[in-house]
Amino acid sequence: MAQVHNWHLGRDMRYRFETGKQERQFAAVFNINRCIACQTCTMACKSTWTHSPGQELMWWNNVETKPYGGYPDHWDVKTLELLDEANPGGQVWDADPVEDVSAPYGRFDGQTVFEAADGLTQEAVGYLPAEHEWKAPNRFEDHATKFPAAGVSLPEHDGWFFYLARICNHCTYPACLAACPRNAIYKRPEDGIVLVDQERCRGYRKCVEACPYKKTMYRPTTKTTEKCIGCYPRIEGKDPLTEGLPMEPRCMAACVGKIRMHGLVKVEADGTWTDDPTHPLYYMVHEEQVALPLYPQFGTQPNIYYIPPRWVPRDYLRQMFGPGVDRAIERYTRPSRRLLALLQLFRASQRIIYSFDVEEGPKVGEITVGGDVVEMFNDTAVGFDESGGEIVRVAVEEPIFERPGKLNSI
Amino acid sequence: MLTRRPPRAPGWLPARRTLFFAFVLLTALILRVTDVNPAVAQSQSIVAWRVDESPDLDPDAPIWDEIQRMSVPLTSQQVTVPAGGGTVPSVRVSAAHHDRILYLNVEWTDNTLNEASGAPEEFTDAAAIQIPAEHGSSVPAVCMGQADGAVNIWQWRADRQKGLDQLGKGADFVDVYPSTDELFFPAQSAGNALATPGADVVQNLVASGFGTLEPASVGVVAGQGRFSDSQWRVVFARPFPAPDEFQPTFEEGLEFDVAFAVWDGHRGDRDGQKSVSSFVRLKVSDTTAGSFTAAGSEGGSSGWLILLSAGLVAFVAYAVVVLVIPKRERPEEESA
Repeated sequence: MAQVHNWHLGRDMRYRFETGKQERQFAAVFNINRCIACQTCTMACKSTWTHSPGQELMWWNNVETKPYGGYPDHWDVKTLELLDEANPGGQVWDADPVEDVSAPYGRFDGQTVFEAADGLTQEAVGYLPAEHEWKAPNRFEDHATKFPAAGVSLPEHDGWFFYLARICNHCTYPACLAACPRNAIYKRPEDGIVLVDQERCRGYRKCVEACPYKKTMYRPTTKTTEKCIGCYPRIEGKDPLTEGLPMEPRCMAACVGKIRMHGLVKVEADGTWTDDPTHPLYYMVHEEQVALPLYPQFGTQPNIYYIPPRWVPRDYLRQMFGPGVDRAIERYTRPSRRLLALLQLFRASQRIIYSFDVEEGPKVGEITVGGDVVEMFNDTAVGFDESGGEIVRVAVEEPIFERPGKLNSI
Repeated sequence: MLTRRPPRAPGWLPARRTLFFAFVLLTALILRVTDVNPAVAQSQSIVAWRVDESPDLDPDAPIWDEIQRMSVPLTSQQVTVPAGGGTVPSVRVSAAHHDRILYLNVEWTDNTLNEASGAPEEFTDAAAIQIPAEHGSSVPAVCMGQADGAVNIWQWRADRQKGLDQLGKGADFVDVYPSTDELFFPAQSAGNALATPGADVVQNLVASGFGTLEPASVGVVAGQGRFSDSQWRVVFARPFPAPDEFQPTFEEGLEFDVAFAVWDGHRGDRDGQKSVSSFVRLKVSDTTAGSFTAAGSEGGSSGWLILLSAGLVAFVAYAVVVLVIPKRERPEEESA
């Protein structure tokens, strides 16, 4: 058992393995405010990886409606409940946090899934969902908490729901990996993608039990567990479309709502991100702090970050994304020029963006946000590949083209 | 000079007699309920008798009625993560050999039949036999071997015997599968023996420590299980010669360490969550069955033997109570 640093929790914690040397980490930012639950990501994944016998209940990517929906049913509430049972009343964040780079959300004083486990029957506290819990992945779709007759208004809607798109978090401290008694799960040193060795897996499902996000899934036709593979052939540039250049996973590239930006961030030996404000993900997670980890208190240091939905009651969001919620919503609501420009780069290219820059443009208008006047500039965000070559450029103002009157014969 | 035993207080004798009978009855009851047989000590061997007729793989072949079963106690596995099991208190084992093939018949009580592992929460009933690869080595039974001491493990699984469910549980939701060749079954195309349809019912495995279990590269262990009246009976069979250095060679006259494990699928047992025994001795006898059959019935769990054992224990306890305790009291009584 090792002591590792978990910067989401702002402290060290107990984990089965030391942090390994890792070149980069698979990560992404999902902007919940933009998600329309079209499930194009879900089907992109399904049609690529999980369309064969035994994978019927398997959705490596899913989009669920919160607060009631969940795949498998109520996965998050059940895990939160287990942790609360293990540490009644103790699952709290430091009320008076000292924030720095190694603890941007303050310090979590409760127990992680690893710390709450007995270490004899389980490496991580968890449960094994039954088959029926996997069978309704979009149950409670579009169910709001209520429908107020008077309508709703910001900053918090009286009746609300939101869409939560989820894939494997390719955690820095994966619970699935810690729980496998055969060490059949591993984390790739080149990109941090977590994989199940299909040759060694014996279908014990300790990983399914341990993963708090329930993103390892049992396949009855092979008696093994399968999971999101981060579309690693595309990450490796093996998709013929980009001729050898690293490419985003299918779910990210297919996103109609342009909610997703994927990337590979540089990480230090202790799992913290290497300081690099030109990296779009680093900029959003560490500089602007608009994107937050999903249930950081589970302790696995997940690598999919979410820009929280700004209309949802804050206490619910704090439970889901930690204490950084208020700041994140504030900064997303009144974005800096640089952030606003960067948000245009979401889904602008299938190729992986390693760095970005913003070219300033003219002021184009003013809008009112919460009584404040916010200036709008037509800045241009530029995305670059690993060697600094330009991949794509997008301006804040969407270009408008007027069609000539007699373009066609209709 | 011996002093005469002092007269007992009035009422002492009936009280102690009642206690004695209660003790006997309680002991017999405990032995019966827990299925523990004190007559079978760990030092006793399972004897694989030579038999004239092949038992084949039939767990109910008549020959097994003539061979003594030995009860081997099982406990929960508590050494490594994930710990668990312990709900199956014992296995009853009998052994034989014919035509240089070793047969082991393992029987245990299981009130629930679990031979499917199609749903994510379903686990199969299973049983395994562990034998150190090297004859006479001193590998701890519960440790799945060690770096310098491999063990050979034969695991029978009810779900494998039932056959792999090729279409899976959710098949009724699907009309057409676009891709069904091996490439789309990664475990299978990666060569995972567990994922291969039509593979052996008994998996022949080797291990040299926790988490190192691998299929043996050569050698087949045959087997067949049958479930009836809340009993699993599974026959394992393997020819005497070792297929490689990670598996034992059996010979008449030699003794081997064997350990047993049982998984109760109903309880979610899998991997380390199992009921497991210590090593017991397996003697491959050069004596033909028949010379022992007069002894007849199953020794392990027969009622008369349990009662005999209980009587023995009770007698010793009685002797202690009657002889030792009064002696301790004697000086005080003498001074009085």
